[in-house]
Amino acid sequence: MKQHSWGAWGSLLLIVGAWHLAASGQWIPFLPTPGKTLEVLWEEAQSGELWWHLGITLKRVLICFVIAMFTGSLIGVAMGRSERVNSTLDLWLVILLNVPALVTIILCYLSMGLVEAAALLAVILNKVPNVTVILREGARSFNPQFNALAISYRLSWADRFWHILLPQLAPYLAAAARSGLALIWKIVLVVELLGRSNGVGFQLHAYFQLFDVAGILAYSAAFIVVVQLIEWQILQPLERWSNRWKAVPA
Amino acid sequence: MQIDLERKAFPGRAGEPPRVVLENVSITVAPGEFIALSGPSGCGKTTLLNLIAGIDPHFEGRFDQAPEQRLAYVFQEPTLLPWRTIEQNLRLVLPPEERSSDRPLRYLKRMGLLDYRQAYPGDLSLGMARRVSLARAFSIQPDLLLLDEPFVSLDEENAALLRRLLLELWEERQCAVLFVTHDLNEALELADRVLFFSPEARGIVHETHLTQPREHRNAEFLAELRRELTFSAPDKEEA
Repeated sequence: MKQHSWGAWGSLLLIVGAWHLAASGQWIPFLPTPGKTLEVLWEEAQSGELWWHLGITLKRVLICFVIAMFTGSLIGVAMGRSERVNSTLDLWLVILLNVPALVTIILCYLSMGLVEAAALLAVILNKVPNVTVILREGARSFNPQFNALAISYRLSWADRFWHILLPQLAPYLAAAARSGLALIWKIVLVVELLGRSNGVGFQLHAYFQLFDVAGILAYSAAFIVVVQLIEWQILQPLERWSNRWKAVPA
Repeated sequence: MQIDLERKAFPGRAGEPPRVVLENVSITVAPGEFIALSGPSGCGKTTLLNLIAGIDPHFEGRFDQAPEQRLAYVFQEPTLLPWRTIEQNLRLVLPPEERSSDRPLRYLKRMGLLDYRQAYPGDLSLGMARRVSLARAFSIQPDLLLLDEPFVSLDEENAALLRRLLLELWEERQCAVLFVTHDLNEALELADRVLFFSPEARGIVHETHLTQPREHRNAEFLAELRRELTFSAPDKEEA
């Protein structure tokens, strides 16, 4: 294990230790111990409730992530490559970037009702501007020499897309994906809390009504673990693969 | 190939008229002919290559080139895709039905770079990258090869090696070449014909045919030729 990994695990242990001391010493009265939280987590997992709600939330995260990444990338690249598209959409981009997530969620629920489509649309509308801004910068940084190469050697549009454009966008896509995942799962929890009857957000709301902090922490911990696993098992290997040609700094 | 360029202008800055860089340029390129384009910076040599390659479609005039003719371009910078290995860079420019051909490896071997076929461009020196760029151009078996100062910023030893390799490959392939260079000696050493461009004239101001075999073009011959050129075209700016 690398030295910085030891540092990360060490700091995690330190936090859990401090949490245990704070809870068992009653420094923060409502805070359950890590052991109690784990116990609730185990019970929820045993009953199947945890997996069901987690699965529903993950499904929403996945749908919103795919649609927001695809839409935001298309708009971002179009804005980065065309001054006309950029000047037409720039004002709306700034507006959407600055509208609070909660306002979008409320407006979606009010206009469409408390339905699944409204929940998903609210999350997507919150994430698309973020992806657009990142991908616009990516498209602006295209190397014109590579375009000249593609034209002079008569490369097909498919070759240009897969072998010239996409690799140049890869670092921007990775940045958008990482920030996107972090943002989307937080907003999904809010839309679930405000207007859905299932999912981790709904469960957090239920435990909040019961003032059950152990339940809130158990579901939060489960979801943090899942997101971290996605980061380690999917995002980081993908990023390593797309950067395989870069020299590793000494 | 017949080049009949009537006018090429770049848009002027705010309020200024368009800047005309080339006007009434007519060149007939015979198959297998090696033509050098020489002249000072800003006289439109690279612009002309970009127009022929289709990189810049905004011009008045016409280029008559058979559609089946293959064109390769060696840019001033090697322009290798840094995320593809050397071999992948060469294979990408081949037509899809030829991508499994052994030609890229053959040309890499000719360039002394076969051992680097799995390396990435970032692992190569500038001289090696330029050799890869030349190998890539010949891999497609071009009918017309455009070279834009391909040996600039190389030390003399590397530049001489690349000039020798270029001549060897050109003699084998017998493709037409348009070779842009600032270096008059390089132009006189390599070409069958040298076209001198001038920014004031916005086109060709002088043309020299070289009939002397290349192996006889020694330093004395080149010096004599340069003297003759100075007398016949005194307004020409030499490298």
